[in-house]
Amino acid sequence: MKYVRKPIEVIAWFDMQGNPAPIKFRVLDEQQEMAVIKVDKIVNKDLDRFAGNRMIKYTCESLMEGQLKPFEIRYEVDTCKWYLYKI
Amino acid sequence: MSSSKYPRIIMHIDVNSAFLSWQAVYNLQKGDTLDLRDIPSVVGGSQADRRGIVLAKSTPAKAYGVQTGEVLWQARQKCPGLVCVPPNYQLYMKSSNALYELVKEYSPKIQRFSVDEMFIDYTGMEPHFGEAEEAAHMIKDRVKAELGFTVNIGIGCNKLTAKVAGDFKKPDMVHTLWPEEIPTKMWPLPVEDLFMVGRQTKKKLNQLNVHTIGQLANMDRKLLRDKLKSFGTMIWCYANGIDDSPVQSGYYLKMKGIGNSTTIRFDVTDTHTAHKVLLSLTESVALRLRAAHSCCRVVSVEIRNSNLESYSHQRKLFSPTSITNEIYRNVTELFDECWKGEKIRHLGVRVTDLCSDEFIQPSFFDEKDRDKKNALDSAIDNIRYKYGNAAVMRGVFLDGEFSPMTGGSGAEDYPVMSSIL
Repeated sequence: MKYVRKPIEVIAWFDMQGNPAPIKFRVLDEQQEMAVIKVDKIVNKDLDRFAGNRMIKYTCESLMEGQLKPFEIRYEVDTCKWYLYKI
Repeated sequence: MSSSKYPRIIMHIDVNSAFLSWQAVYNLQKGDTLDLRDIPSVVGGSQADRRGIVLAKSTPAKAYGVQTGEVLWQARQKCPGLVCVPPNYQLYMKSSNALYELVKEYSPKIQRFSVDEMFIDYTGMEPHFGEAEEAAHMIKDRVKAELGFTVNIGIGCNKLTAKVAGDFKKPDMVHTLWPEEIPTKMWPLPVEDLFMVGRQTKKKLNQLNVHTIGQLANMDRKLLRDKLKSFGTMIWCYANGIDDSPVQSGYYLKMKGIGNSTTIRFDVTDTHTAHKVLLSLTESVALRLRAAHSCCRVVSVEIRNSNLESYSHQRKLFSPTSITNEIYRNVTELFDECWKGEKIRHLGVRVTDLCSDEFIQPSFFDEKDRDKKNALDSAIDNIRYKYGNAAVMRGVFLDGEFSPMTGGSGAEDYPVMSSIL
């Protein structure tokens, strides 16, 4: 996985406890086009509290170009922003 | 070793170069690859606004001789290529709160001494988390793993020894200073390392041929009292590791005064502008005064000119007040009385001699319509609490040259530094 750290647009599912789970997101690719990626599986979810700033980390897997690729997206709780962190 | 031989066990947690490491950790979390803690870097105010002093430094910057509080260009001279990041007080509060939440799991009695320091009363907690040292290591390692920054923990049997122990070798360490360790660990230190001994006291003590804490501790107490009054007795007690102040859980500190000050972007040369700055300072001071349900009996004004010389002027009021306009009237009169007409760099407003606002003894010489003015202030305060400080402002600030309320950094709730244990 490579670090990318790009802000992304996300469709997420919030359960009744307020836990968000990403369903799909889109990101600007190298050709400056919006690429839509569907989150096939959330492998792991973890809370990062570095410097008191809460970020929910999701390690996910998706089928891209016929290949199962792992990636990590993050949700910053205080600002409600999503980031594609590693892919 | 059974720790129960000590009547109290106090821990002191201190974040290593707090502002800088919080910023560094935050940047890393945001995805920076560069760790500010590993390069010469400082947190500093904006030079354009003339607030360019070093607020915090990294360990590599310290190696260059960069000191906290020195001017940025001086620091740059000492260390070319110094990286400077702006302060971010919201982040500091967030980090401090996260640390507090973590530490709260270990003891019910925690005192937040400042934004990056806290005292923990660990007395009687051994059955739960093991001996004090074990627990301290546990806390230190958890903070590092979960919050990403490093802390130093000092353990002693009172707040003073814990704090001294916390200042031993840094970073990321646990130190103890039990009473029997005082002669070996604390006494060889230079006297200025003692809490409350600053530059001025150091000078006086050095004249008495006192250079280490041990010399101070073994000095004649009466002589010290004669030279330095009650303060002498206090530092003598501190040098001997005597301190019985309790860990005040929650945040509680009896305020002696409330003040705000600001360094102005340009040199002020006319009364009109100076009054504007003073008004904007008074607005925030008076708001804080009322929020503390207090009234003040003394108002003072501080001026620092472009040669960095400071002087102040104060006045005792006839009857206690918390009315913005009344404080402001006194502030302007004081300013006009003491200003010598030179260029002003920095202005401050301070109110002291506080008392409760519950009962006020009125007098014949009070301004008229005090109740109405109090009501007006409280209405304005309520609007500001609800909609923000900019919701209501005075017409004089409409040109946008100055903010309608000046002073404070967002860290008001916890003082950055305190002199009261």
